[in-house]
Amino acid sequence: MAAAAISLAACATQDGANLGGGLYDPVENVNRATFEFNNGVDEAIGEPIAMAYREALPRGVRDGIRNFADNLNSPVVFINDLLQGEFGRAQVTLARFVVNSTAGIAGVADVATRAGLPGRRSDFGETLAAWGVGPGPYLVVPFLGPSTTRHFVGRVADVAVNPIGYLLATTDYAWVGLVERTVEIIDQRERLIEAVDGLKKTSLDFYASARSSYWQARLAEIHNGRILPGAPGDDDIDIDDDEEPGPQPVAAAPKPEGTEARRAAISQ
Amino acid sequence: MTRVNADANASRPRSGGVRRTALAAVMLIAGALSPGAAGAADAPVNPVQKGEAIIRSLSQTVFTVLRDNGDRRTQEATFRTLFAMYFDVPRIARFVLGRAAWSKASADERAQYLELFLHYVVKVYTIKLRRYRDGNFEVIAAGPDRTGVVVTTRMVGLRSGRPFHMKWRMRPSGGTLKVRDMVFENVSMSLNQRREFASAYRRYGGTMAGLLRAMRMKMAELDGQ
Repeated sequence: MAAAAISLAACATQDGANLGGGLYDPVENVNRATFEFNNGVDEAIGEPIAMAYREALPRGVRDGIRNFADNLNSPVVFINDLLQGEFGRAQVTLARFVVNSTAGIAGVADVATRAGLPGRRSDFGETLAAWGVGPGPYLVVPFLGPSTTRHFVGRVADVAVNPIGYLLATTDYAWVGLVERTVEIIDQRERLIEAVDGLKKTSLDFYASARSSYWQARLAEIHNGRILPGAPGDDDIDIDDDEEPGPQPVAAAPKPEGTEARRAAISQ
Repeated sequence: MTRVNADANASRPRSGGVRRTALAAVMLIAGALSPGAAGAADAPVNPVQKGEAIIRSLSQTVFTVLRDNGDRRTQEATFRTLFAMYFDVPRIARFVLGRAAWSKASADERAQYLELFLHYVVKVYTIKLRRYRDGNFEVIAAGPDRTGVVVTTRMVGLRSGRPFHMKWRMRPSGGTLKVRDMVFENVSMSLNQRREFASAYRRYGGTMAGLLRAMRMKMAELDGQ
């Protein structure tokens, strides 16, 4: 799978819009057409279902559904933690899966986070990035939306390796996996109702805005939120780049203590 | 402070007396808590504390305006004043345009762009913010950020929609700190607009005149909504 990703990435011609972080959009015309198609599907089906989902279910129930889906995905996160050499995180992922599957009633309640074991996502696309595989060309996948070649290969691999999918397939509960995936997509869309609608209505170029938003968010996932978007190392451009020389670094603040120290740590 | 009052007068709404009173109250808050005043009241404060105070006051003012039930035009006029006061608009505008396009633009085109950019951005964010009128930004962290300060807030109190995090990247400007970028859940708004404007610039003929036309068309479209 990694070889396939590398091969696909190598096929990327380095033309089209440079999006920073090694990403290009060499098939922009095709991507724009697919984006229009996806947008039409979303307006006709995706957004109305997401709105109905929000109206029909209170936030607590929606949180429970998301927790359940996240818990079913835990084995994939665990495998990718290991593949990335993140053994500490793998331990946390395993502990979360055990705690939430039992005390959390099949994962519906995220008791692990309350017990000091916060969850995080990890996928094979991130693993490939950790192994040094480039993102490849930017792709808009029919029905799935913005992606990179590397991310798309990672998505396929994650579905293929999830042991829970295989376990369910051997029982009469194979439909659970399909329902879980469908509800997860609806839940993800529900969380983006305001953001997508705002971007769509106000952008000079919705395609370019969606592409940039996707890539920034994806880079943040790959960097595990350790780099502030728009900062050096995250992208090719920083908000300070267009400055003439002048402003000096802000004088060092007194060493923070207590709450302020914790706050400063959170923001880094 | 003088400039704030002048701008406030310029943006006075034409609607009813109640709304004018509410706007005046907002401007009083904004004046008392303006970027310049934030550090003056309890000086000395370090830049991080100052940045935190500025974002708190900005948040308080913005949501007061949103809850005033004013129409969009009235809110836009107020936000134009606030945006010019709290944000480093010329620097953001130049960053969004990019160095190449800026250097190719004539002096007249640059002036047009800078003026149009303020109106465009205010229109965009007024539409976006009106969705969150029942919320509020709660400051949860603040710290240094290269030559400036970054303040992290969390949107709280929303009746619908998900709470989200917003980071405010601030830089020294005119003796105070001004917002240079907002990072919405790991997505930099300045960087997003830079990509968006670069694409629009290219698609509208690769000229400043084309981009200005695209901005005017979008603003007319937003006015019609």
